[in-house]
Amino acid sequence: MSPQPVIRIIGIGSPFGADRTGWELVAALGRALPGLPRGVAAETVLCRAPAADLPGHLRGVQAVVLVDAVRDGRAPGTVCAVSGGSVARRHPRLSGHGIGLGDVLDLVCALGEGPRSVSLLGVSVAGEGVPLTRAGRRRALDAVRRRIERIAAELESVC
Amino acid sequence: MSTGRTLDINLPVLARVEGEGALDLTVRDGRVQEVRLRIFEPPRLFEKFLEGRGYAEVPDLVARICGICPVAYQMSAVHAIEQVFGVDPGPWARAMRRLFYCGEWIESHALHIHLLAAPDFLGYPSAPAMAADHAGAVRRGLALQALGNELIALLGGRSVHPVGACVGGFHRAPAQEEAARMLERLREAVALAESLVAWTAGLPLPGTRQAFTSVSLRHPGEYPMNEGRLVSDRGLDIDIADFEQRFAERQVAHSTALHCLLDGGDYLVGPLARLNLNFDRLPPAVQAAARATGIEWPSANVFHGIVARAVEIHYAVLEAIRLLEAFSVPDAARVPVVPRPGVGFGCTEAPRGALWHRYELDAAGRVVRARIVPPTSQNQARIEADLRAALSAEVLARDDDAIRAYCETVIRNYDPCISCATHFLDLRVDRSP
Repeated sequence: MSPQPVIRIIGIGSPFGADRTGWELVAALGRALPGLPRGVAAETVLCRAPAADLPGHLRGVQAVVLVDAVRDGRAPGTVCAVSGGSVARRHPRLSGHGIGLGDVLDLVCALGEGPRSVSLLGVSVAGEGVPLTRAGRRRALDAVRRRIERIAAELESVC
Repeated sequence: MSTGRTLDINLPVLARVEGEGALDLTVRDGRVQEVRLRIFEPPRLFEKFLEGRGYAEVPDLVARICGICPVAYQMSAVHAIEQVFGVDPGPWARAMRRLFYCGEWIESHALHIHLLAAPDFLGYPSAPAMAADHAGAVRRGLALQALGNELIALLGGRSVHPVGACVGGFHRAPAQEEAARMLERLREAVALAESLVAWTAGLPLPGTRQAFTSVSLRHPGEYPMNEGRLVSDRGLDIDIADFEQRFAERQVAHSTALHCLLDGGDYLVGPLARLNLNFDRLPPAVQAAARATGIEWPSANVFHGIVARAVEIHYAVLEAIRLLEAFSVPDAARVPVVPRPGVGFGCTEAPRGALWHRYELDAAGRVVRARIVPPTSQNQARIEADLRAALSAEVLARDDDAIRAYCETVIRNYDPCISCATHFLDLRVDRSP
């Protein structure tokens, strides 16, 4: 029997253009998970609609790592990590059509149902229609792996 | 009573997906002089996009109009196109379309009740803020919303912008095991849905009463979703094909969104209008729960809209159970269609009200002309009328923030497009005499 997942790695995106980045990286991680300490298991999930699907994905694990494409002007493939409360509360007012990551995290945290650790790994892309190059993808994947190994090590120390 | 107050309130940004809008309120000598709900919605041109497109593309294209009620757009479209082609999709597809719609009502109403409207009535700035004190209510909202989404995905392949519906039926029928699992989930939610009705009725809702016209579909034997005649509580009773004879959209200078009027006057569409006109079509258990609230139906209090949404969730859960108990996998999930030229009409009950479509198709089934009248444009004039009536001397005597909050509450009460926009209101007050 496989161990209970402790970390859930969630790729966020859609089938279109650079928005695929989160899905592609997490799918690649799913094929070859980073080396994890004993007792720390991980699973990967692809999420298309955070408002509808994310609340369920945030439950039942100790740590969640969200991987999503971001357009922040940095070199494509650069990974920026945002952790804890700063992931949420970016958009403090919910709206029916515009429920985003921050809203969902905020709500789940307010209910006391969120995981102990939430990290958002933003992967820089050049633009909506510009997927990562092979080199950019490799750089991003290495950075995401390192980040997950670090989160896993932190979890091991408190498990 | 006149407070003698002079006030110009400008809420310049009602920004959100289907409309960017604002509210201008002018008060002179303690009386509301002007209320203008300015929707400066960029033209989305969907009707124009549809021209030249094949009939098979239409359901997926119109689903993109709204992320909250894509099923409604798909259903109005497929009914209109099937009317042109003279196609009857048969009882299985008819039942499944009703089931599909139940999912949309559940998710959309649950979202509005718990995450958008309830914080207004309970005095919180947002749902996360409300969650700290009302965690159980918010959990119930998320659970019901997830249930509705699952039901949409059962038939649509996914919950947001589903792709399962087509002219003639559905692309795929769910497996018997999938339907059985969904049925189990729905049965578990009955108590949750029933308790929601009492919970909404127990909210401190304003007790205002207004004279307004309710408009909805009415079906000979069912609570309306996909079929029926357009009726009102002022004597309207027409075939949906005659919509343009009584309803007219007009441009107003302060809004890029058209105002749709019935015989030149404002009217209400949506859950409260549906309930006001179709209470007798609800099954006994739903009627009993609605009556147990102590509210006298039909209701002239527009704030009872939140209770009406809860009643419709209760109904949709029971109706979905009924439909799934009779479910079987058909030989084919859709009937074949043969294009032919003509004009067809579709009108279904979107979560926020009647959604009317008209399509003119050529011999190959390509769209020559399309017209779509969403509930939001139908409710706009009513919202302005509501604000004029609701801003009593007592309300106008409050401070600006309180007036703004009350205006937002009134607008939000009408649900999604405009209501979600109001979460982004920015207030500027001009106190010049």
